[in-house]
Parts: sequence; structure tokens; C-alpha cells
Amino acid sequence: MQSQDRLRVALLAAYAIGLHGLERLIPTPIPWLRFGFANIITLTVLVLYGFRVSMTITLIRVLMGSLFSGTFLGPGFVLSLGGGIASTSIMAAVHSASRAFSPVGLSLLGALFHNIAQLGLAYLLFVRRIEAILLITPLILLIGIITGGINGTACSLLLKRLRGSAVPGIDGGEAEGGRRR
Amino acid sequence: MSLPRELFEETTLYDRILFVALLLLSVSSFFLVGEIIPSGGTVTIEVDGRTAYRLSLHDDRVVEVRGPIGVTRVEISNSRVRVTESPGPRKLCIRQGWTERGVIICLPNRVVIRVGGEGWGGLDAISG
Amino acid sequence: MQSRSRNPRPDPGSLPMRLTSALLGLLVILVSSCELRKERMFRRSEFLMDTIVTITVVSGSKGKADEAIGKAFGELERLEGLLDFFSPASEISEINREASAAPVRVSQETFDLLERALEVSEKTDGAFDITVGAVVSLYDFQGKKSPPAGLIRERLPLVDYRNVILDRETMTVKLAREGMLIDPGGITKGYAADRAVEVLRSEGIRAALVAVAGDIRGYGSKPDGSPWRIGIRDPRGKGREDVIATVELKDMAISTSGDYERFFIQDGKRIHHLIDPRTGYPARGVISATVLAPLAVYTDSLATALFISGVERGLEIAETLGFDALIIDDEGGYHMTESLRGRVEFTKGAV
Repeated sequence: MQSQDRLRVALLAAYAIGLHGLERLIPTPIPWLRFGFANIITLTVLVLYGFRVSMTITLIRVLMGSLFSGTFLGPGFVLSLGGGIASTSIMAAVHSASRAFSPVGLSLLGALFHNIAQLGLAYLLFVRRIEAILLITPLILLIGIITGGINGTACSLLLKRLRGSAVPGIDGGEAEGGRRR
Repeated sequence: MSLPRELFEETTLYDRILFVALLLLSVSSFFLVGEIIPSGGTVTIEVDGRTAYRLSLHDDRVVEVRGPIGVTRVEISNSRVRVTESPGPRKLCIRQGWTERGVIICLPNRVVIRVGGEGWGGLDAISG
Repeated sequence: MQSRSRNPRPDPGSLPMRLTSALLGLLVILVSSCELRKERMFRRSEFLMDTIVTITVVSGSKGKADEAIGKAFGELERLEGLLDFFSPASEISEINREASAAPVRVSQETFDLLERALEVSEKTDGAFDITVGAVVSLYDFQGKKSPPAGLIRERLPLVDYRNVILDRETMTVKLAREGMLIDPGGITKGYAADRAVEVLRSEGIRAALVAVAGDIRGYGSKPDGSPWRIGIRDPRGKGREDVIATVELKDMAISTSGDYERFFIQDGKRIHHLIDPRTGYPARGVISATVLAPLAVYTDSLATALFISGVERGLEIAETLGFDALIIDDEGGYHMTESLRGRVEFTKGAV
């Protein structure tokens, strides 16, 4: 990784942390409802620079986000970490295997696996009551579809704009990182 | 080309199949979970996986349970349950408000309150 | 470059296609299991007959379940009016006031109940006896006072079920001795559970569980096909919900009598409400007796009878009648009928 890339990763991670923090300020009807705006960055980076960079940014975002909010190593941190790793991994796996899904589809899958991972971790580590988990699953799935769709669309738009401008390392939508076979 | 149309054309066929499938899945899961979760008159308060209280949803009262990081206060009134006091940075379980059926979880304090369960840990009745 | 990645033709072997079909498969499973789970349990508790009555029914419709439960509670309220020992307006009070002078005409229900009670008395050598009221009323469980021995000796002759004379032709009850008191409290709860089950059955409910306090009658199975699971209270446990064993109930009734229900400690001795009608004193040797039989009217009265009869005679009575029983002696030892072995699951380590 060149120093210019490092700078870019740092910048993108900062964006992700910023979005992550920003969405906490938005009041929501359900307290634990999250939009997952940071996933816009994760996904854009995944398409542009590939799995390793996007996973790095995810990990930095989770770590820094929890340090800022004071939840480091708490239950929220564990859930956040699990969700982030699961969603980034599934998006990267599907994206590298085929180009059938646009960022919207990838984002939907990412949101789905983010939620599955969080619910699974919550069950295994904290709650241990399957009916408690089942009860909130439908709502979380539905919200995941909505936020996943919105984030995916935002990512699509972002990519389109980026492709229109001269961004280093972007060659017609596929960077060398994203094309690693 | 309008923006919505432009956005729609950005998506692939698989995106759309996935979207519809997920939507159906989540909507049907609402009904399924409604069938599975028992509706009953029992409130079970668990701390760290152990049952601390098993109360009737229809008897108004306030109980306090001690979790790893402090005291969580649970109020039962008018066949509803809420948490009025609990340690934890975000007070999510307090903000959840009144609950008639389902679960309130105070994750930091490891308190799980099940509302409207069957009670007696899988038993249908007790003789004696 | 972009056209390559947009709207590709579906390929059945491709990853997204497999992913999509997996999702659709999951969806089908969810929807079909929805269909299977149409039946649900509906439960309601009310305070009746001096205790908490809980009725649980299995039904596919909430409206139907509510109506059936409502009718069953209605029947219980009616029975309460007829059979309440403490209500001056009840038929039982009328018998206690007037039946020693002249035969008292009673309703079908009261007559049936008394007939059943006398039947159980005969089969248990009087260990269960509804005329024990004359002696039990001497004990003051609230004030924690037991009566002097002389008073018990004086009242004991009034206790004898054979002095209750039933005449089916005229539907009348006569008490042979003045001062006799009949208290059917040891059998009414079971009888009530049976009646509630009959009402639920006639309402078309295919499975239900009626629990009049600890006297429980169940029929049919739960929505998932499993039988009703009943806990047996630990006689020395921490409360009503502290269970010592569990048993499955299908088209059966279960009752438990224990020395923990109403008692006080006097001179280190537990004075409980299960008075031996033949001695006038609390029965010793047993701390809990559970009976399983097809009708709750039998389990309710027999649980008391077995408690009073003691371990050996108690099990003998149960075996003779073909019912199942679990008796816990005052050292905590479990004793049960042969056919109950393996059907009781002990939660606190079996002997």
C-alpha cells in the first residue's frame, strides 16, 4: 500500500466514523434503530479498492466509533464488530464471485447478514432466550431492507459520480483491488 | 431521465428478485413470530439467564432486580410492563416504554424481561 | 464494462440464483409452518371458589376460545353458589342448618357431588370424610390455635360419613345426628374442574387444561401435539412454583394434597389442615400425596385420603382403584404406584 493509499484509507475511515456518529444524532422512533450509513463507505470502498481495504475501514470504524461513544468492549461493541465483519465479508464474497448484484443488492445482503450476525451474537452471548430474539427479528429484517436499500442506492449514486470524475485508481468502475482474482 | 428511473436502472434483475424475496420474508416472519410467541399473563424477569421473578401481568407492582452493574426497576401496571430505572449508557430499555407483549432487554445490566409468556418454565400448571 | 455487469441473463447454477432460490425456499418453509401453527393456546385466570382458577384452551380462533372460556367460568360461578361452605345461601349451608331435622331437597349437582364423596369415603375406610367439618372447624389456623383434646373427643362422634343419608328418588339429604357439619371443600374443586371440562367439550374445544388451584384436569394435546406438562409442588420448597417433579397429562386429572397449604407450628409440631377424621388430629407420616385419575373429583378427594392413610395403605388404595399415586413421606422419601414409575420426572434428584 502506497502512502497515498494510506491517506485515502484514513480519509475514508474518517468518513465512515463521521457518518456512524452522525446517524446517532438522528432521533428514531425505535431506540436501537440504526441506519448503517457507514455501510455506504464500506460498500463504495469494497467496489473501488476491494475486500481488504473495506474490511480495514470497517474495523477502524467499529473500534474508533466505540472509543468515541465509550462502549468499547461492551455488548454494543461486540454486536457492532460481529455485524460489521459479517456484512463486509458477505458483500465481498458475493461481489468477487459474480457481478449479478449492483451495490443495491450487495447492500441488502450486507444489511441482512449484519442483522443475522447481531441477532445470533445477542442470542449466544447475552440473551439466551430464543423467543426474545425471534420477537424482534421481523422488525429488524424489515428495517434492514429499507436501510440496506437506501444505503445501496446512495452507494450507487456515489460510484456514478466518482466514475464521472477523475478519481485515482478508478478505471471504468473497477480498480485493481476490486479485480483481484 | 428522472432520478428515480435512473436509480431503478442502476439495479440488476437479481437486485430486484432479492429485494422482493427479502420483503416477503420479513413480512411473513411478522405473522410467524406472532404465532410462536405465546400470549399469556406472566412476566418473567431474568438476570444473567437466571429467573429472578415470575409475576402476573395483571397484578400491579414494582420490583427491583440487581444485575452486574446496578439495579433495574421494573413496573407492572394496567397489564403492561416498563423499566423505570436501569444503569447503562443509553437507557434503551427505559426508552422502550410500556410493553404489553414481548421482551424488554437491558443488555448492559443483563436483565431480560419477558412479557406475556407462559410462565413456570415450560409447565402448563402446578399441582399442590 | 458497465454493460457487462448490468442485467445478466439468469443462470440457474450461478451464485445469485442459488442465493435467491435459497431465500425463496426459506420463505416457503416460513409460510407453510404458519399454516401448521394456526392453533394457539388461550389462557385466562380468575379468582373463584376462594382460589385462582386458570383455564387454558387450544383453539384456532380467539373468539371461539374466549366464548368457551367465558362459559366455563360461568359454570364455575354457578357451582360456587351451590357448594360454598361459607355462604349462607348455598345448598351446603342449608343442609348443615336443616338436614338433621328433616331431609333437605338439593339440586342434581349437589346430590352427585355428595354421592361421589361418600363413594370415596367407603373406598378409603373413611380417610376422606366430608363430615370432618365438625372437628376441622375447631382448629383456628389464622389464630394458630389447636383445640383442647377434650373438645376434639366430644365432637369426634359427629364425624362419620355413614350418617349422611342420601335418597336418590327424592333427591334429598339427611344428617343422622344433630351438630354434624358437612364441608365438601375437599372435593368441590375437583368436581368443578370436571364440570368446566364438560362445558369446554360441549363448546367444541378439542383440548384444554382446567386448573382449580392444584386440582387439574386436562384433555387433548397442545397445539404442537405434546401433552400437558404438570409440575408437582415441592412440599418443602420455596413457594407454589417450586416444583419437585413433572408429569405429563393426557385425558387425565391430577391433584396434590400437602401439609403446607394451611398450617401452623405448635410445640415444634406442624398442625396442618389434613385432619384424620378417625382421630381428629392432623395425619402424620406423609407430607405430600399426588393422585392421577380420569376424573378430578376423584383425584381431589383421594389426594386427601391417601395423605391421611399413610404411605403403605395409601398406595394400596390407589392400586386397588387402578389409579396412580406419588406419596412423599416425612423423611422426604418418594413412594409411587408401579405404573407411575418412569412417567414422573424428578427435578431434584429421585430416590
